[in-house]
Amino acid sequence: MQESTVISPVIEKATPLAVEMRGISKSWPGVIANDKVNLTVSKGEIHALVGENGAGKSTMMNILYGLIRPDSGDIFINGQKVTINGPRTAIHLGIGMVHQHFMLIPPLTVAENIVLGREPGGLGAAFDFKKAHADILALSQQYGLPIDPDLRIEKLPIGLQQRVEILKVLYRGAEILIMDEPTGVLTPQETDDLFAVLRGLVKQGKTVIFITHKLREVLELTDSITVLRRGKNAGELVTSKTNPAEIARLMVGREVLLRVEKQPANPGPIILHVEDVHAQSDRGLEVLHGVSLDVRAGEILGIAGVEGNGQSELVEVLTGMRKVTSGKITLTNVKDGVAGETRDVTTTGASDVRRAGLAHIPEDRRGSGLVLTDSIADNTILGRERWPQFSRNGIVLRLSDIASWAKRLVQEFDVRTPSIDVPVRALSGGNQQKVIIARELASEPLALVAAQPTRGVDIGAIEFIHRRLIEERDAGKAVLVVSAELDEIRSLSDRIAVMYEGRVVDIVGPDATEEQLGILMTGYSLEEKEEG
Amino acid sequence: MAVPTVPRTLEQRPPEPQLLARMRRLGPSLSRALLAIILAFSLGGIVITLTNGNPLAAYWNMFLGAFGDLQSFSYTLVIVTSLIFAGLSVAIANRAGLFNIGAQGQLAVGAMTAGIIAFKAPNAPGWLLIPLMIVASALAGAIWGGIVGLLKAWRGSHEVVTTIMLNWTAFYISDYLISGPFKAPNQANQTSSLPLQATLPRLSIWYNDTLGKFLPQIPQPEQYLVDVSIFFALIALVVYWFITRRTTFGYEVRVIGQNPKAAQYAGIPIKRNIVLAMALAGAFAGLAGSLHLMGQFPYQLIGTTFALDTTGFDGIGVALLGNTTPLGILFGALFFGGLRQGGNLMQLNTNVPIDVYRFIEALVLLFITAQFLPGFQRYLPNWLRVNRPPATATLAASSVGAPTGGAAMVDLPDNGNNLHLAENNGLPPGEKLASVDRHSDQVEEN
Amino acid sequence: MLLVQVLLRVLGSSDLWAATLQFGALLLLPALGGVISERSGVTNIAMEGMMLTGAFAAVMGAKATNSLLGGVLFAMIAGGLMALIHGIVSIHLRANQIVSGIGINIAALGLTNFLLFTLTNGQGYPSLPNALRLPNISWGPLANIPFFGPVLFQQNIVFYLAVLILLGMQFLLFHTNIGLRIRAVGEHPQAADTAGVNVFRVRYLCVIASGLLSGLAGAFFSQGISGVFNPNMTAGAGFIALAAMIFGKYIPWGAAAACLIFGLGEALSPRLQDSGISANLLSTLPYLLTLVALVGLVGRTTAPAADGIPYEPGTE
Repeated sequence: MQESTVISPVIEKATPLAVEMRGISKSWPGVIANDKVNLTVSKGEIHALVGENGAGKSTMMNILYGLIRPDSGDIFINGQKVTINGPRTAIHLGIGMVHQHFMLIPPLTVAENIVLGREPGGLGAAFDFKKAHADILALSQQYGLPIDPDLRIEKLPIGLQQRVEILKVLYRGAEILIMDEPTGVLTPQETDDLFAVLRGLVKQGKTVIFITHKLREVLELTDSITVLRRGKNAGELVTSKTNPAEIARLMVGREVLLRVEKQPANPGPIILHVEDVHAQSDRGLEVLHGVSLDVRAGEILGIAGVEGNGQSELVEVLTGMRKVTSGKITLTNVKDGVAGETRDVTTTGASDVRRAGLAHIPEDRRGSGLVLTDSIADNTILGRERWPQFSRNGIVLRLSDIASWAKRLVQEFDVRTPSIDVPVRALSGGNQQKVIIARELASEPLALVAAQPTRGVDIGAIEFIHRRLIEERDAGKAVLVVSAELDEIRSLSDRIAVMYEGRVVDIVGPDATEEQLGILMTGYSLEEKEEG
Repeated sequence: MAVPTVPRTLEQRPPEPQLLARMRRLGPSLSRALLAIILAFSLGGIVITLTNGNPLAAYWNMFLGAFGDLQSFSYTLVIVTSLIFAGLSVAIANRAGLFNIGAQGQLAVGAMTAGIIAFKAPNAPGWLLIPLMIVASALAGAIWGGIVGLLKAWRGSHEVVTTIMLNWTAFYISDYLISGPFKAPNQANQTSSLPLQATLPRLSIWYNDTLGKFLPQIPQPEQYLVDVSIFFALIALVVYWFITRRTTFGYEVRVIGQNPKAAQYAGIPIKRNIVLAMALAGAFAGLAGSLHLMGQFPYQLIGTTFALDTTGFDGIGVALLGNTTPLGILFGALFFGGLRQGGNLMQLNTNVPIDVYRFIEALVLLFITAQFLPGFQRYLPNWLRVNRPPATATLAASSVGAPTGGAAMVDLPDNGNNLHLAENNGLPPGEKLASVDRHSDQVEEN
Repeated sequence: MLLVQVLLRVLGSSDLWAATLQFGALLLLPALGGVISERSGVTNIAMEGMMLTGAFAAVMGAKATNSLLGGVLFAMIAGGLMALIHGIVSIHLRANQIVSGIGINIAALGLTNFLLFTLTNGQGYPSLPNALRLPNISWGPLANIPFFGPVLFQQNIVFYLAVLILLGMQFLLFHTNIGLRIRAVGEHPQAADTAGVNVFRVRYLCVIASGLLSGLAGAFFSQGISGVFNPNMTAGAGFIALAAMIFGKYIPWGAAAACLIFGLGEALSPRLQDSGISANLLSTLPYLLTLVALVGLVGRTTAPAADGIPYEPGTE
């Protein structure tokens, strides 16, 4: 495979450097996270650190913030060489980090979270509620981040929680802010707000390092870019002088295929019918407000939307992992294009729904989809262990039959492993996903629900998985794909349903533009937005 | 530190021979157990030396006292019987991701139930009484354990707390019954002996009466204290093996214990299985209580013994040492049983007080759950090392599946703010298991 | 009928309430130790073992140094050392904290019996002359108030210490910066770490504190209340304290209230024996009450979120 090794000419940075990391290397047994990586950020700029999952971006920033110590390399802050032993040192140097997974303590208040570690009055003192309150209000005013200091974190929406994270960092006098994939949990509107805040901060002299893998954001927000690929530098670019294709190429190392080869769909009768389904979240709030959709035999219905708008709960409801409060779900047995028996599966549990013919590729393979410490063989019967072909009377396991089944799957789906007895956690992400997909597809379901099927999976496996999904479609199955990657949805789906706040806003064809989908994803219908 | 060369992926290594693979899987748990034992004896030896004892003589006598001759070994086997059941009790709960420290209370309940039945029906024939007592004790233990499971499933109550509460409740109720309604006349704090037909014969005596008719007899059979309940213990081990390896229940319980989210995904009824697992655990422990009562002198219930007896807690050590496998539990039981039994001779011959064995026991517990093994990895030969780093740490070169944040020592759950070990994803805090293999596979930064 | 009369008579005696407060204080110290330990995220079920060790060390220490204070110091240090071991195993060696706690309890039993035998050459149980025992303090004229005098103003010195510690801990946990850090570490150690709090140090200090408190309780028991050390003399008191901590929802006030209730049970039991209520059945009360609390009839009791989970530094 010809890899592109183009590295743009080193940019001469005229302005003083806020951050310079030279030759940073970090590895663990069996993994090289960073391999002599360089990073230069000028004062007062917004710098993007870009790369795919696992490229080493977060490791670099964890090193900068002192959470990890590098094996070799130097760090210079404002021209001075420094050794960063821990977050305390980093904070002392004016570096602040807003993590991807918020570092907030739910039962404590905003004020308590912000001042933790730097409480007014010092360590030995009583907690000075008033001063904390006043300081925070002053801060939020200065940087345009309004918040009520006495609210408990567990009661705040995600966007506000992120605001608290930013205030935390500013409270400690950060001059250099590291934002680690901040927009994954935000709506487009909240993302715009965030960008405005960041631009405002930069105007007041701060420097921002922005970790992301979303190219659109890079182009919209940043001044310069460092691209990492597989732990190494892949390129340094000036945003105004580059384009998405170039960034993507540096990130991946070859032309990124955006479209999957497929025949036009030939949809048959409806297999999966979802009618006005309501459901509640774990907290008891209604999270699905009457979702209706149909998936036909031989088509792929994609569900688009920002994560957190009910897609996960919809998947759980369909696959029997969550109860429905009202509505109906049915599965119709369709063979060779002819509709047969319809079965109501509204209240059916996960095990029986699977028996009824609905397979489920879960979004959280290490969480739900696999038992990591179990062998591959054991994982191939997960959810089906009581089926007659795998156990006698549903009680005693048929070990040799299970072994043959596992061997067959491993071969058919090209799972790279020396044996079926190996624990699955030893496999790479892509191969783990293949085990799941093999298990779900090989039982010849009627319908397939695939949630984030290629998340965290390398390019080669992504192509394989997409191809298999299309094959299932062509074999007459109903396929429902939920994905946060708009490109994946647009290239796989025959129709696209957009979800926003627990409802299906609209169902559009595959030719919908990214802009149109973006509008739908924020809850507006296409006609409304045109008027507004 | 130089950047290491890119190691080959698992997929690229040639398939390894079965035996070596088995040894390699066994390696970490075996080495962990051995290390804990060695360290415990060493530290114990230091304490003995500090009090002017001779540790080598002490340990030698301990070994002799436990395994030195057939008679001593039979004494050891008595303890081993109870310990096997106790270990199984902890182990089966552990499979489901639960920590059963209530084995001692369940044991007490089992013993009390068996005793009460015998006292209430002192004239019933042996062939009826014995099975009835055994089954009833298992049921009683199952109920006592099942309550814990119910509270956990229904209310999310942490089983560590509920078992401690139930333990002491069981102890005090037992004491009440023993010194009250079931008190022997002229005694303050013990019951009468069981009716003769409710007792189990010594193994050697039973042998003489059955197989001994065709095969050589055992001379002076009364000197070998071990009774036939050792058979029950061995059968229990086989039953345990069968349940965990060969049944769907064992499979499902394992999924629940390793990854509750996967259990949910698979549609495995979690609550029901938790209750069942705890009930089974209680049943095993209950059997420990009743069989010991029925098989060993003085065949009566004595007040305050349950609170002082450490069998239930030793079961934890047995299960951990044996990594919850049937064979491991057997060896763990032999070890702890030998420790306890051997202490007697040690005290007799070397003047080192018997309580040293408790101290060593405690040290084994501490060392087996502590995780300094990862730090030693570098110095161990390859076959003793932890199999391989977790999938999250597979090579950046071959897959983009490595997580953000570098090779994590811990799998990050998708949602958030609580860091759990991957295997315990989704379990409420405090649900950590001490079981060996799961911890030893983390790649730790040193 | 008889029972109710007996009960009323007993409840009216100041003697009973004095005993209640005394037991309550005995339970309160380890319960508070448990509170601070669990609040910082370290599960501690070894209060029993630490108390026992403290009780032993108090008597032996007082004899060895021939001073009252020596006994107390030895007790606290012994408790602290056991706690330190628990801390090292749990915090640095990332062990399962329940198993570690059980190990400490068994070790304490073994160690105290072993040392008792060797240090006294097998000659009975060591007792203390009055001069070396922890004294009661009488607050002069206050002690003469009918009913309340003997109950409140003639208690052992450790009782008053316990009250002070109670007030101090309540204030510390919820009104000081240190307390904020402790709670943060117990709820979300990664967040605290990134905020610059030294998670390990906070946890160690809290665990050692729980050891000091439990050791002091042990001294109260052997050096204060009974004057002698018997093998396994704590007989489960540490577990009642554990129950009190849980029943009290990991709040000092709550633990104190629970200790009072459980102390009442302990005090009642010998006094009701004549009327036929078994002391043993009464002794089950603390445990059953806590179970009831756990079932949620008294509201959910939830431990700090990161309680019992070893902290791995350097992870995101």
